[in-house]
Amino acid sequence: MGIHRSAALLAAAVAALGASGCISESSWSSSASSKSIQSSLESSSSPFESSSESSGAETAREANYRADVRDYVAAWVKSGGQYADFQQSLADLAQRHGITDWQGNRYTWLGVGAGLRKGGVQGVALQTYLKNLSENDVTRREAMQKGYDEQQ
Amino acid sequence: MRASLALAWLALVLARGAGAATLDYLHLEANEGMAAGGHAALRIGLAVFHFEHEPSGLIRLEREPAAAFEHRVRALENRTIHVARIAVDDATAAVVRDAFTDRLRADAADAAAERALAGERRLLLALRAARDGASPPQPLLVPAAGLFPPAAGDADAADEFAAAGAGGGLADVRRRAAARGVDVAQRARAVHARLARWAETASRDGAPDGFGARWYDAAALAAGLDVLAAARAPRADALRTDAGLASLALDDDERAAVARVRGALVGRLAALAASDAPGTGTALLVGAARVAALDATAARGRWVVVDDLADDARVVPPHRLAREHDALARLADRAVDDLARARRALVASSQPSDAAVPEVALQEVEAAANRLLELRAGLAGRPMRLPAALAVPSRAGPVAAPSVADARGLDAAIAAAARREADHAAMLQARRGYDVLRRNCVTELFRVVDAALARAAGVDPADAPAARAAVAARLGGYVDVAGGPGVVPFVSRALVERRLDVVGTATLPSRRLATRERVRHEDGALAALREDTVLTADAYEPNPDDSTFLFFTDDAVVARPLLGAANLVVGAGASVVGIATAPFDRGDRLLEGLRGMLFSVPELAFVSLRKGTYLDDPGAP
Repeated sequence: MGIHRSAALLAAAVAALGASGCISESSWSSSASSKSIQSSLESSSSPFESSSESSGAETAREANYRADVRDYVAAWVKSGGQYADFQQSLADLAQRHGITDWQGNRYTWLGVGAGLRKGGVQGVALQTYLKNLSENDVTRREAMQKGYDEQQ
Repeated sequence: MRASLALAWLALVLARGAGAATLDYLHLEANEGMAAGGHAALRIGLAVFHFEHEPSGLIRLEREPAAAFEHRVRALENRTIHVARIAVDDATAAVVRDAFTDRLRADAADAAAERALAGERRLLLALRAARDGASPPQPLLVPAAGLFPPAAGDADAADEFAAAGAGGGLADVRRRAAARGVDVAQRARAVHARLARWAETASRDGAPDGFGARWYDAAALAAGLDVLAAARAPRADALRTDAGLASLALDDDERAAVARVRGALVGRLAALAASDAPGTGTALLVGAARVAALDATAARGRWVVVDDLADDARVVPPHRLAREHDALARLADRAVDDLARARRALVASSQPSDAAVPEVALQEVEAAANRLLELRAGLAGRPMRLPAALAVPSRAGPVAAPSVADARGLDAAIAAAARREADHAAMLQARRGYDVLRRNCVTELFRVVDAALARAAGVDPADAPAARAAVAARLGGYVDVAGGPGVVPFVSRALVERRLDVVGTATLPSRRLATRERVRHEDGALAALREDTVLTADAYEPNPDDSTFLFFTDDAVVARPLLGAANLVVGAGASVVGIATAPFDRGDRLLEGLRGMLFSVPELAFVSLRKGTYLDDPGAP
């Protein structure tokens, strides 16, 4: 009971202060953006933290992007989504990862292939997806197949 | 089994990650301006998920890399993190991770829909204004279109960069597209005609679902094709460099890499010129600006980058940075290192055998250079803009609304668009509206986890007894936080530790407390006292975002009211001084003093919210 009473008192005190909870960055900034100075000026998570600088190495950012594409495609497959939604969603997803040319990004198609596998697509359905999504682009198709094969 | 994990071990685990099968419940202590009640988060493998209360009144899920999250919270925001590690198997961790990823996508989709509906209403209003021969009430803005002047030969065009070669690359794009059978100018005319046709239809028959999003996407495509067709150079202020900065000079490897990346980018833009896929317009506009920047880089022999600062980037005025010269200089040194690392990565990722554009590597160079240039501005006493965490050039520019001949349905379409926007806002408020007791950073974490584990067991989350049993089967118990004291982060942590299968707990001290402990260990308790005041602490330099205070009180429980009273007096004094200086500093010092008084009041009642924050972390790797 003690802990409950203390918590209730604290919650009331917080409300009385007018300070809402769950804000993790400074809300005292003077502009519309609430970004705090310190978080903005230090480099965010290093894009190199899990990669080497050698050619072809996948950076953490690229790995995260590929994983998000995979998860989206798996969910899209299971929901029987529309192709128009598929493209728009990929474009939006890429934008959130700082990628503008999602169509030309290899990790997009690796992620799509991985998502097809995670979504349980196989056999004839897989070939149909690969054909339609690649739009006759051999590079895309190969990347999708590679992503599919590498997905556990 | 419950055991206390060694602090160093857990810190190491948090920094490096421990694979997918870890579920850590995190309670972040409060600090000034950052949730007086503290904050809660969940670490799953290498990612931390947490819900933030936005200024819009909604609560939104965020995801951050675990190492970056811990660095931000402890080293910069100076907050202590309490960790409770919950025993889970791989399958459970995967179910929870997928649920949070789904929620991230849902939140993003809701936000995108909100923007699209607002944009659609603006578009319809602009069409009506065009019908009535008036100016649009609000401009129709397209992301990245503002990197270029509205028409070739505009006075704002990047004359000096154009002289250095910017713009020539776009003529190459046009030629490469022609070789693929694509007439860029003809494509641009066709897309403009499509825009006009859609506007006509919407004005006559009403706007179909998704009209606004499709129209803006096509408008961006038209803007991008226009830029290519005219080989238009970017605006003068859209490209940036610093002639006085020796570290921006190209070396031979970079010169070759710049040529390779430029060649690959020209090829991609030529291919994109034939595409109608969503996002193509933005890719064309950003890519065209980058080609111009790379051309200028090659011509000048020093890095020239596209300005990637957001339109609404926070601007810190010079007077707020006057006391921060040393910290800014350290950050600038760090940015130079970041830039060098990004440049090496770009060189490594642009191989002659690979025709792909290393967009992420190029964006990293762009981001580090922009950060460095903003810090240099701050050091030189100029306003400094704050970059976003993941910056991509996005400067919005206006596009013209087509005129429509038949606007019989326009008024009804505008009314319908306003209704859709209001309905969507109401839906968002109902589903995502922040409520300190019913929907906050704690309740939402548990809501997502509970629903995911219930569904994974084939149970309807609304079936409370069955859902509880499903959660308990996976986590060793059940925590019910809704509507009770468990909504407070530190209480929720206590409940997690008490009721779930927690295999270890740890406290990761804030930067100041860690520093104080190190000083006490190395130099003794008396020396550690100097870390307790703002004036004497080695590791603290007042941050422009911090209020005025004298004593840190987060580790002085017994003396807290006394120190709080002293802080109150100091805050009052600063406020009085602030009244006198208000005409010169726009009231900043007054505001700092008043906030100092506000955050001293809880200290009188033994509650410590303010801990001070740091502008930079000299010890970061």
